[in-house]
Amino acid sequence: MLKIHKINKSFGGIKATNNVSIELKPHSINALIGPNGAGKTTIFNLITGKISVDEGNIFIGDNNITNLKETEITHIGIARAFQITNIFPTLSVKESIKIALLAKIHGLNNMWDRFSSHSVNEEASKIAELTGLTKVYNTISSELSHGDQKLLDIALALALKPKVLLLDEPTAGMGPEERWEMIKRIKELWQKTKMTVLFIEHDMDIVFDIAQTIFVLQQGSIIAKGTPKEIKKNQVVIKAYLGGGKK
Amino acid sequence: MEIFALFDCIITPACLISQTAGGLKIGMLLFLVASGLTLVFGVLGVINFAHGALYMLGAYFSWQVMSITSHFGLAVISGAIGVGIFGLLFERLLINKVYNADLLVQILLCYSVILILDDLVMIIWGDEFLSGIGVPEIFQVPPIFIFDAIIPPFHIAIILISMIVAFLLWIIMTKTKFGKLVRATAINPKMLEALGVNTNVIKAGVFMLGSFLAGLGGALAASLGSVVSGMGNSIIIESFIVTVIGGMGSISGAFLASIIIGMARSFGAVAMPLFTDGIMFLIMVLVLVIKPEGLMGKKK
Repeated sequence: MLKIHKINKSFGGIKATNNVSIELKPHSINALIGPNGAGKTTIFNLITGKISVDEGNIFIGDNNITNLKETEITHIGIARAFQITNIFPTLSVKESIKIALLAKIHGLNNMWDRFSSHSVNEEASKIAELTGLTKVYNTISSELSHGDQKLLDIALALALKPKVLLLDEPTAGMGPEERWEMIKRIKELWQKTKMTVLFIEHDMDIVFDIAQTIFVLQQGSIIAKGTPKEIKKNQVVIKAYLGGGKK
Repeated sequence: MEIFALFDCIITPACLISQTAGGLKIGMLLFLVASGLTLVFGVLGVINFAHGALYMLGAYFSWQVMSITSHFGLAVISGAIGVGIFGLLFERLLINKVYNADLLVQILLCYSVILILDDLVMIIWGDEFLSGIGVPEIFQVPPIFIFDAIIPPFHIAIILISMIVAFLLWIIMTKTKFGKLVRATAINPKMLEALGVNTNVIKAGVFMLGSFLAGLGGALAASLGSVVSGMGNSIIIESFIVTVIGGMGSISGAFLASIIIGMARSFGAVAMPLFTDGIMFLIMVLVLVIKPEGLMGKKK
């Protein structure tokens, strides 16, 4: 579904990604892990067109999306939820999801049309239900709990009906209970939508619990990939990331 | 101060109706210009000091079309559309370069454009007052008398046209997809971009719409008075007052504030004819003290 082929990116003299190749199978859920500064968010920024790729290619299916504009990549089928929640703080949950749906439905065509609110309303309420936001549907986004704001960020990405959903630390800033609640929700979402998911996460218990494939990044290079079982046993990963002597 | 004159006016139906109609005319024309200014500020975060110059261009464009075609409607529409297109070019070539710049840079850019446009219109149309585009033939009829108040039918037409524009603007901003995306752009443009919307198109559209409104105001003003270089300088001050009173970025606030200022000018001319400008500033100061975010502005 998503294929990253030997991408390189440097900032000044520093290599942020070094020949990174990642291939995600359709309908799979995958984790990208690595210590701080390993280049995880850079990879998300390269995939979404936020920053340009120096070398290499990125494909969604047969579409080469390398260095396309951010907006074009979104329309081809990549959506992203951010590490620092990115929402419309003064709009309600309902209005926010409707804006995302409007962006998806026609792009910038038919701008002066009175949009048919019936179908958009119906779709928005479905997305709220899917993300567990029905109870706070009419609440102003800035008044939501941190967890619900994260869910709204994901709901906005889901409204774009992406082929690939990128989640940048979906549990960042949450307490243990809230984290597991969020993970449960993401798992359900993935099972229901069957889209391809790639997420960045620091909590290894969470990663091992839900990821089918794990990609381990260190200093801009992929040092290992495999199932949770394989990664747990991988000596290079254990040495570099999971903490030396533990076996 | 002739406070008794004001009292007499209020209890005399002819004076009350006549001054109210006059206030509405001033207010509605002011709304056309101020709504564009507040729209641009609310979405783009730019205080477009050159907005008054766009109003002036609207007057000149309509005067030019009127002198060629002698068609009032065509002259007004051409003035508004011409300034809308000019605004689009202005935004694409200049204003978008200073969206995130320091306020001082934005002011300097706008002030340069004002000076250039003031000189350009003098080079093209001369430095003398032009006589305006006049009242269309259909309205060259005897005035309407309501309780002995004399109201020119054309003034009623101007009020109605401005109210229709205000209504259309409300429809656009609240009921269309464009309006919803404009609101979202004002709140979080980065998020909208992440959702796949090219916000540059929205921003250019907003600036074009704001310029169109300034041009329409200028074209209609050209029917009521003369056209001269620098005519936008006084309207921009009044528009700022309206924007501050109504709440920066609030179109409904601009509507309310325009009516308040229009009435203050109209009735102020009866009570304090030498202090009508002062009344406007006084109202602004009062609003800033009591409700700093403006009558319909949102607290930040």
